[in-house]
Amino acid sequence: MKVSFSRGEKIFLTLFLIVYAGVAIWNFGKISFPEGIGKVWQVHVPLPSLLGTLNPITVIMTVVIMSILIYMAVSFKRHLSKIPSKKQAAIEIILSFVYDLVEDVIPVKEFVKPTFYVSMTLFLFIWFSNLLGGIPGISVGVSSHHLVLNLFTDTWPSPTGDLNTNVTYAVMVLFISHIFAIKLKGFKNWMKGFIDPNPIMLPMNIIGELAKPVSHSLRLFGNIAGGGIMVLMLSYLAKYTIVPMVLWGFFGFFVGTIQAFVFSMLAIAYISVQLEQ
Amino acid sequence: MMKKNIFKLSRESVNFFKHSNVVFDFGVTVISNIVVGGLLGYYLDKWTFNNKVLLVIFLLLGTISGMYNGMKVLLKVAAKEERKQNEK
Repeated sequence: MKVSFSRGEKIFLTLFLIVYAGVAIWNFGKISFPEGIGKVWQVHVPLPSLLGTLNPITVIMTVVIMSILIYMAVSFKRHLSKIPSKKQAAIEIILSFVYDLVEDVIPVKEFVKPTFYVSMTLFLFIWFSNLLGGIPGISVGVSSHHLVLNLFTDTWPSPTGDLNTNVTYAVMVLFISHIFAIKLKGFKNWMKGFIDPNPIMLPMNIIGELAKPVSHSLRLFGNIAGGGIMVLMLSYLAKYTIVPMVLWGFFGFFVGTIQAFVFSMLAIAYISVQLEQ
Repeated sequence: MMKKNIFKLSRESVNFFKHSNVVFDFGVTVISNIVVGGLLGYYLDKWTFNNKVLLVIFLLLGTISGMYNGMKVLLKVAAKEERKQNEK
């Protein structure tokens, strides 16, 4: 592949690189490690004890991603045409790819569409929030007494880096899979599934079902939160000169995409296991 | 020639990722089952007799269910591979 630049672009690139190197050298001795890593800003709300603590960053970022997705969906619907534009073609490819996967895995035909809605929604939300974890932005940390604003020394805080989000989705998938199973088989047959080989296996089956959301949610949380902390450490060690971009790209885009895909695939797999007769 | 080698390598690495995913899945399943069993036992024990008998029982149950569900995962993968080979 041959890359060619115009004169203006060359000048812009050179200036950008000079400024970048200058800031990097100026920063070299000055940057201190961002305070309050691993601590979460929490606000106490006058509600019963389980609902009494709020993570404002997670809530804000969730709302932001939701509004981006809704805006995209509305504009996609408005500009639908028979000859697809680039954007429409890209979205159609992603949707049809997941739809084919769901069609292959789910054994009952009438549950293909509901499962597709669930898994696709999960995939889009988690994918977008993971991608935000690869873009430098503004985040809020907590030092011992006060809040600290990290301006572009960290990525945007991704909602999937908070275990609460992931557990919510994993538990939701658990409930959805069992509701689908009850709908398909009837309550009695569904109960029989728990004493599948013989009644001795009842506690094992229950523990196995309860363990599903645990592994489902912790896998995503570990990848995103661990990646974020590792990037922060390494980029501090390199004084934000050249490493962060590569690492932000790797952990945000590559690992983020794979984990979003794995999460929705597992959701489909858990639902299909419950729908087997 | 060079292109072929690269293709082969990438195919192998994809297979490697697939296989390591199976191992990872097995490990995660076993550990999460044990953790859930332990947690259930701990809280049931705390709320009932408070003498650590239920904790031990549920840890054992969690271990057994971890092995059971892990074997299920492995058997599923094995059945899939067998089906693929039969199709060939």
